[in-house]
Amino acid sequence: MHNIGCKLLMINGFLLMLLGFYAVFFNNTPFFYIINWLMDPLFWGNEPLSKGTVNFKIFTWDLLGMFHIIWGVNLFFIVKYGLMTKKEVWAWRCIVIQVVTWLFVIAYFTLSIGQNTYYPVTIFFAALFIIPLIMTKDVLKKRETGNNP
Amino acid sequence: MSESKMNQFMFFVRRLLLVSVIITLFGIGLAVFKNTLLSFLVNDLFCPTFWPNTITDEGTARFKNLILSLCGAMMTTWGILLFGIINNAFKKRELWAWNTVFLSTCAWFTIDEFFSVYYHVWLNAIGNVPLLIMLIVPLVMTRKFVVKGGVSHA
Repeated sequence: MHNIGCKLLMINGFLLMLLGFYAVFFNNTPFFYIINWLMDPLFWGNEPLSKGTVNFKIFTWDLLGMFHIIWGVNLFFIVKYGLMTKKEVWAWRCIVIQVVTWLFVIAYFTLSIGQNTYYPVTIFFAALFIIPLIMTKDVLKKRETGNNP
Repeated sequence: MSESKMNQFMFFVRRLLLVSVIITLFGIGLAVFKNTLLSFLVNDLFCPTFWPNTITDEGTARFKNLILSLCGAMMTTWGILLFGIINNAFKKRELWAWNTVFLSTCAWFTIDEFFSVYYHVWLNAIGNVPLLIMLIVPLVMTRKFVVKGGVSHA
């Protein structure tokens, strides 16, 4: 059970990296149409965007993509070495704190946008992390030896 | 490892911990205080790069607030993971921890700096340099201390 949970978390880390690369390198291409199709009407309706706004969108998608890559890299290696190999308590707690913070912010903005259709998406992404974390919580039984984040 | 070398290693570990706290706090600031405490940085210095005059339409203002808050949230999570790795595995001088921090630093700087320069976001491009120095100097100085598998009592 522990190893399956770890592998699921590692897959999540890998997917986050892929998602990040997609946002960084394809945000100004037709491959990003689906995201723009979902997001743009929430803010601008059918109005054309100014050049400054278009550049801001491209730049900030690059930033968000970069943060996803960093998150994926960190998550992948913490799970691979800290959680799976050494079963460290700090690794599990660190991921929980990070995921809870992220979920809290994502939930807040999903609510603030006021689009009911996004709730299932948020719940789906929450489940992607929460289920493997529950599967790996057996590390808490191990006597704590190191420092904690 | 001798005591003086251990002290040297811990000196740089503390610097890295400080950087992770700075990243976390700045992320929280960007997510929560972008229109209050950090307004001068965001609205007076950063936004004119894209909108030389003020933002006129409400949709753009809402999008800007949303996306900067998300960036702040992601930055906070980066700081938290960085702190966790440095305060535990890095302290035990584990090679994977050093590699992870180094890899994430490279990913951050290359992508962020390239697009900041490309879109003439000079505030970001210049602001990245001190942060890079604060991360890369301790990383370079601690490289010789890390070993595969780490040590039990650092």
